[in-house]
Amino acid sequence: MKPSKYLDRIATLCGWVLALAWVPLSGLADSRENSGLIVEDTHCRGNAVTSCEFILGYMHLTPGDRLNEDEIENAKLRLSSLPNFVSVDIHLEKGSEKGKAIVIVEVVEADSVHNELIAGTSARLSSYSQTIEGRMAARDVFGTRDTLNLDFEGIAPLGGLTRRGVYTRLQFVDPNVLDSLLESSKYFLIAGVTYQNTLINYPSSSFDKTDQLDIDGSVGRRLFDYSYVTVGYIYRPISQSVSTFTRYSQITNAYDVSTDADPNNNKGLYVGYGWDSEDDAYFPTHGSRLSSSVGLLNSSAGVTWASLRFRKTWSSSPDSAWTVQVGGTPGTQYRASLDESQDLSVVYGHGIAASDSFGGIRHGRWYVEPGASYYGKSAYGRPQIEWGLKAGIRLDTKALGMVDLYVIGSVSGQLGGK
Amino acid sequence: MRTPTALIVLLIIMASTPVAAAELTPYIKDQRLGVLIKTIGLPDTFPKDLVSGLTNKLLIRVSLVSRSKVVDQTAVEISIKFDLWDETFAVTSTVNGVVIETRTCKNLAEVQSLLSELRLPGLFARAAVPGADRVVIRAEILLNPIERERLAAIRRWVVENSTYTPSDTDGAHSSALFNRIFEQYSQGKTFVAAWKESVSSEPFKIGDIVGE
Repeated sequence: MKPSKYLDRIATLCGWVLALAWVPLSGLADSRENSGLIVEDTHCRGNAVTSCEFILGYMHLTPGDRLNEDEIENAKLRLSSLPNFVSVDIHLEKGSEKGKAIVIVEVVEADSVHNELIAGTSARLSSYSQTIEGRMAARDVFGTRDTLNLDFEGIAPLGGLTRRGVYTRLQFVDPNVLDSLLESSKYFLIAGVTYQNTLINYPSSSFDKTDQLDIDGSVGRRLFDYSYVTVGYIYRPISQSVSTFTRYSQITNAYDVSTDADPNNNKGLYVGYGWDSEDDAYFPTHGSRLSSSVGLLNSSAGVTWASLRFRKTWSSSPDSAWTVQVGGTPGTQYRASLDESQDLSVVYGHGIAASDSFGGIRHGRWYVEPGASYYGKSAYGRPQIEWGLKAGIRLDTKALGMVDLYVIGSVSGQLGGK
Repeated sequence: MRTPTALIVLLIIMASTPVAAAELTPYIKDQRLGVLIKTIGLPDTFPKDLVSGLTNKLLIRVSLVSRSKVVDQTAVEISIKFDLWDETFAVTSTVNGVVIETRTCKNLAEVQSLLSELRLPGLFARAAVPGADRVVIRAEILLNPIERERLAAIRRWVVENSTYTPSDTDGAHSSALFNRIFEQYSQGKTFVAAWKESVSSEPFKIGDIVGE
C-alpha cells in the first residue's frame, strides 16, 4: 500500500474516532430535571405473584418526595434486571390536585414455572434414536428466590446399534443461601438427586452401560462479575458401570464398577469453576460461558472425572450469531445443559421474529452446527472421529416454554487414514 | 428414521418482518443546512410513553461527512412532556444545548405528525460544507438516551444487589429492555437507549441543494 493511502486511511480513522468521542452533550441527553411535581402516592399494577412492597423497594421515591425522573428511570432499570418481570413500565397519573402525581409501576410478570422441551432425532454412528427431554423449573417455591428443577431425558432406539437410556434429576437451588448470616448475596446452594440408566453401543463391539444414582450437595460463591466456584459432596448408593473398549481387534479393557462390591468407595468431593458472561442463556449474541469440574471420588476403579466445556459467541449481524464450542455445551452455574452436543463444533444461528404462530412465539432462532467428536481408537490404534451435523430450531413460546427441535447425523472417520 | 413433521413446519417460519426505513433529506434556509427526517420507525409503545406524564427525549446526533471524514456535527434534542391536567404536550427543541423552539401540541396526533416529518433547521453553515465534494449527512436517533456513567452505576448496583445472572432459569424471560441496553453498554457506547435508529442522506453536492 502506498504511503498516501496509509495517510488517507489514518485520517479517515481519526475522523471516526473523533466522531465517536464527540460529546458536546453534557447535561443534554440525561438531564431529567425534577418536574416540580410532588409524589402523592405509589401504586403497582400487573403484579399477581410479586408483592407491591417488593416492587416499590426498588424505587427510591416515597409519598411527599419531589418527583425525580432520573430516579424513576433508575428504578425501571433495576426492576428490569430481575428475572421476575418480562417488562416494567412506570408512568404518572393525576393526584388529588394539580402538582401532585401518583407514580404507577406496571409490570408483566414472568412465568413462575419455566418449561423446556427438547426433541431430537439422531442418526449417529449407525445408531438411530429419538431423544425427548423436558425440564420444569419453578421459581420462588419456598419464598427464598429459590428454584426447584426437574429434568427428564429419554432416549428410545429406532434402529441400528442400540442407544437407549433414561436420565432424571431433581434439583433445588437457593441463590442466596447465606444472605442473612453473612449479609452477602454471593453464596448459593445446590442440592440434587440424579438417576441415570443408559446403554450405548459403539461400532467395533464397544459399549458403555451405566446404572447410577447420585445424591449431591454443593455450595458456590459468585466471584467478580461473572465467575463462580463450587465445592460439593456426592454419594452414589447405586453405581454400576460396565464399559468395553476394543483395541487392535481385541477386547482389552473391560471393567465393572459397583457399590455392591465396596459401598464406601462411591462418595467424595468435587469442585467446580466457571463463568458466564453471555447476554442470554438460550439465544446468546455475545459473551462466553465456561463450566469445569473435577470429581475426587475414592472409587475402587479410581473413578475421578474431569470435565471442561466452553463456548464463545459473536454477533455477526443484528439477527445472527456464531458460536464456537469445545467439550460440549457448558452448563450455567446452576444447571447442566440438556443439549445433545459434540466435542468440538461451530454453530451459526439466525433469529426468528416474534409471531402469533403456535400460540405465540416470543422469539427464536434456527441453527446449524457442524462438529466432531472423539470416540476411541481404531483396531490400528488411530483416533476414531465422529463427524456430525446438527440442525434445529429453538423457540421461546408462550404455550410450551422453550422448545428445541433438532436432527443430528454423523459418520465415522479416523485421523491418519484408513 | 422419521423426521418430525413439526420440525419441517417450524423450519419454514424463518421470515423477519420488514420495517419501513427512515429518510433524510437536506435543505438550505438562510445560508444554513438543515435536514428533514421522515418515517422514523419509533417503537409501538411510543404513543403510550408520550402520555406517561414523564419526559420523553429524542436525541439526534447529526454528522456531516465528506470523503469518509466527519467535518461537522450537531446534537439536536427534542423533549416532549405531557401535562396530566391540561392534557397537552410541551415540545422543546434544542441544538447543541441551546433552545431553538418551544411549542405546545394539543393532542397526540399533533405530536406524531410533528415527528413523522421532523424538520431540523440550521444545523450547519453552508460555508462549512466543501463545495466541490459530494457529502453525506448521517443522523443517529436515540429515544430516551442514558449516559454511560449512569448506566455503569446501575450495573454496579445490579452486580452487588441482584442474584440475577443472564443464564439463570429465567434468563430467557428477563426484560428485553435490560438486555438491549446492556448490550450497547458492553459495546462501549457513550449513550445507550432502548430504541435507536440511524439514517443517512443520499450523497449530494451543496450546490445541488435548493434553498427554501
